[in-house]
Amino acid sequence: MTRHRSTLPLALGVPLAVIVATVLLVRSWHGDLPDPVATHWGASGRADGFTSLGMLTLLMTGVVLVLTLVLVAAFTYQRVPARVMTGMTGGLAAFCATLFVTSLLAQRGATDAATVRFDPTWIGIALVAGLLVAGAVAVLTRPDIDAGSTPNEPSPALTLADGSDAVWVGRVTNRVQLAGAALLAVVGLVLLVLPVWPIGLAVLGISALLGLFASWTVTAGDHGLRAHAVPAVVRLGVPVDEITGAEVVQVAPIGDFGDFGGWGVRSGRLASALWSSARARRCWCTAVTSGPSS
Amino acid sequence: MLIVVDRTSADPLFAQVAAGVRTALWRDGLTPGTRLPSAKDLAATLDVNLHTVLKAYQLLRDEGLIELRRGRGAVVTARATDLAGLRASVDQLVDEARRLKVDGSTVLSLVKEALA
Repeated sequence: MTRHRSTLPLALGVPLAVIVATVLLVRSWHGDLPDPVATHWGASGRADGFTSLGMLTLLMTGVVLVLTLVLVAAFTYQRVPARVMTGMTGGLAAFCATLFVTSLLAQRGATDAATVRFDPTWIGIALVAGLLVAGAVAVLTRPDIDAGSTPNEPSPALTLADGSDAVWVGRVTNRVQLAGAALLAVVGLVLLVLPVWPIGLAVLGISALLGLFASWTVTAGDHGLRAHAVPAVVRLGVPVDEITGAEVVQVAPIGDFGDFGGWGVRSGRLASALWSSARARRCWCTAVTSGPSS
Repeated sequence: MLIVVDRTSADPLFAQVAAGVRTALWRDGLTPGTRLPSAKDLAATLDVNLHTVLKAYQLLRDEGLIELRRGRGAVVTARATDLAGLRASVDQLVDEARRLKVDGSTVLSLVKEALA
């Protein structure tokens, strides 16, 4: 799968166009807006944060640019489908820009920004604008080109002499999951010393689960295929008499989400076992297909 | 890590298991700190006695290729990765010998002479 050459210009160009249009529009209102303008409203709806129009524009531009770049980098790395990437960057830029414009529109003509109250419809309008732009950009995006992936080479079968036994053992670790578990453990420990300690306990529990299931040991032998996590009580596998074939397939864990549902170990009737390395953005997996169990 | 044992071979099973792990160390490029499968798991999968695998692991520990730690099992040492590098040099030597059409016994005698 390769990106169409128009993908990146769209993913970066739409947010950029939104920023330019927004800045030009807001500049044209310059004389009608209070100075400073309100930038934040409290729970009661009263404005409690103020800054100059120039600074607010710079902040909005910076936030949209940084978000766009982070999304493009992450989605490219993860081989997320082109339409999701362009839709997300365009939609997010439209959401931020609309929120910025609606909040300023309400302040037009006011002499003191503090008199302008927050209106939740601003968020509603921004959400609708974001979704509309995301949908439109996604539709306009040329889908990724399927490079006509070469048929999977069959792995050479291991020839065993009579009286021989063979076993293959491998371990896969999802480092991202492990890092997430470590981060959650730190957050959980911090929360433990605060009045919200029950939440800390829950976070520590989730961290332990993530950590324990980040690493899997896979064994293939005359018994079939087995995979177990660190707590060895959790075992998945396919008995040898149910295995009808084995092949190495290339999947994008997020790009082919419908088929594979992200990283991890899969166990089901059709794709009975599948494991992948979290390090690779597009990784090789071994899929063992099995027939219906009798 | 692929381990093959041949029950009809004259080589003892523990030596075959050790040889399998040794080969896997350089072929799979295992990094220091990588944990090997537990002796219990390996014994069950290969259908050999637990003590056979433990003896193989002890042999590899004596060779400095793995460390046996209580609670952590068998862990690949830095020494094992040094050997993986050495193995790559041996491959180069063999390739060069084949290119020059030098037979195996001559290569072996050259290596013995160099080691002497």
